Amino acid sequence: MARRTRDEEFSEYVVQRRTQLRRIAYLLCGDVHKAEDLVQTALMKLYLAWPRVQRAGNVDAYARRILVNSGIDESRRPWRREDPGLEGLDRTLAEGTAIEDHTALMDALASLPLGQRQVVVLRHFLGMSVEETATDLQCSTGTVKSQSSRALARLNDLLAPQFGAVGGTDR
Amino acid sequence: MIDEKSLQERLTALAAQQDDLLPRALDDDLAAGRRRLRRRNVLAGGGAIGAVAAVTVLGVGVAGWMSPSAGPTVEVPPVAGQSTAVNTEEPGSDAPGPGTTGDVPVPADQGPPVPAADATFNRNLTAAMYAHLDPGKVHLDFGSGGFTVDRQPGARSGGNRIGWRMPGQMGAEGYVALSVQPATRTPRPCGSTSEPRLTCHSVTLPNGRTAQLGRAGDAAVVLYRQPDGEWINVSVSTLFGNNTEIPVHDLGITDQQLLALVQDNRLNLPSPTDDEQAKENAMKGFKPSTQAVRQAVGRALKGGTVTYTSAESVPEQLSVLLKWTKGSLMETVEAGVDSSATVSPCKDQIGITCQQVTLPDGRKVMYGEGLGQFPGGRRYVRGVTFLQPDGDSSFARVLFPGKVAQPGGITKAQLITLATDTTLDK
Repeated sequence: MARRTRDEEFSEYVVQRRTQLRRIAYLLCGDVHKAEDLVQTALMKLYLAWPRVQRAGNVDAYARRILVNSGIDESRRPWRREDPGLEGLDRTLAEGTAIEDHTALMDALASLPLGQRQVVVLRHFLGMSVEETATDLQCSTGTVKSQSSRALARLNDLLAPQFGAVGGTDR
Repeated sequence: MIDEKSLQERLTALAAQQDDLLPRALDDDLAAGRRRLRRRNVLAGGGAIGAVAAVTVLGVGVAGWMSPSAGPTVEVPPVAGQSTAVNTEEPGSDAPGPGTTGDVPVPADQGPPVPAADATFNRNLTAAMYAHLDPGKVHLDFGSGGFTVDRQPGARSGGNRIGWRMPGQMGAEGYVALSVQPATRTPRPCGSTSEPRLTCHSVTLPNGRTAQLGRAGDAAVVLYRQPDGEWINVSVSTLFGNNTEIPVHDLGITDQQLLALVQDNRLNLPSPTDDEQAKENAMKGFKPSTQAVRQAVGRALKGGTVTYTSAESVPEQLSVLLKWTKGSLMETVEAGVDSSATVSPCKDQIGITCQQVTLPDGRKVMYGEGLGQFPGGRRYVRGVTFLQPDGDSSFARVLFPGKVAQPGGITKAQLITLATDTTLDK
């Protein structure tokens, strides 16, 4: 593949997907700086692998898997010792969303084991199926289902005070 | 119970709150990718065959502790069908230390554990670093981990960035990056991986050997080749950007300390295991030449005109892209070989699910044909992978311009002939 083509295609992909990749990384690691680092690294790897990944037609999956699978393996402070918020940076909150809710949700995510947090991000943020999630995480569908169940139970325990008005019965 | 739809909405809102922070230009992402690719290609193509495995993956194997622009993760060479290394270890939430607000370092024995296989390497490097830089153990902070070895084929190296605290400088953290690279590798130029980048000059040591030294204020770097051939790189930075936004100052690490550290004979990579060595060996000399692939394509795809487009050669794979034309037909052909160490599944190579086909002579190939999802939309594809007797895998694929196969175009038999061409098996 000619370099020019690679650059053009890669650029188009980054424009379209960068924001989403950063969101995934942020939910996984809980820190905007760290998330940005992860995305930069993921995109660098993606650029390297572009011809092959593109040929396989799974660019999104490849980029996502880099983030999900390498997101926590880092030379840096462990997750819970990071300030999960955006200290020193302006917060832009969705209208009608209390900052306490964000903090509570971030803290709850932080309390989950990595595997459960990955499942939450893939299944309940990205809306991926159990099968797709299992593929990304290279585990069985049974593992995904059990991790998801435990994660939701944990989140329910932690977030009931904040999300008290939410009362789904779909589990 | 939490409603899952509500959870998704709240996760989205949470994630979106940081959308506008730390904006980065597209050109920066592109430039980073280009730099890394250029580095990898130069290294991959610049050496003798025997040095390929040792040198090539340096481009991607320059781990996070060395690269100023890289993220903190250990680099993994891209291999279709294989995701990057999965670290299922839960973050060390119970690790001790002052976090990002204090000034007290986490001692080596209280930081996150390193893999058992790296224990000796970690112990040796830690001891050397303490001895030469911080005998009082008041600066080095192992809260981000100790020294580990990157064992991916062709990318063996070891090291890490270790935090550097200064008493009284609350929340500030710099780091000392120490790495060991094999003798068979050509290291990146001195100062090119330090933060900031530094210009180095030669320093003759008392033992008569030469080191490269660069310094700018507190920041410094030394590159040195030990008598056994291994390369030692140590760099000092005032800011451990992964952990804090506050740089340290007046570190007090002298050139003499760094020069003494790099000469320490405890700084050695562990010997590769038999399995690791086998994988290293697998990346040596498995590739046919691009010319050989082109000739094989010419032999197999008769009836049309083959035009070479480009070739992509990385440590684990050679892929040649060509165009095949016949009258008004124009099809895209790719052919190449994967190293046995990184064979991709047929589905990843071809882009669609494959089935095993047994040839009249008893050999087996994986063959796929049908509509696949490719950039720009769904296209019809035919492809073959063939596991060569030595474990390498050759492949051939034709991508049609539309959603159906072109009558008179490249056939299944032709692709099988190409993928099983003996000249692709080195």
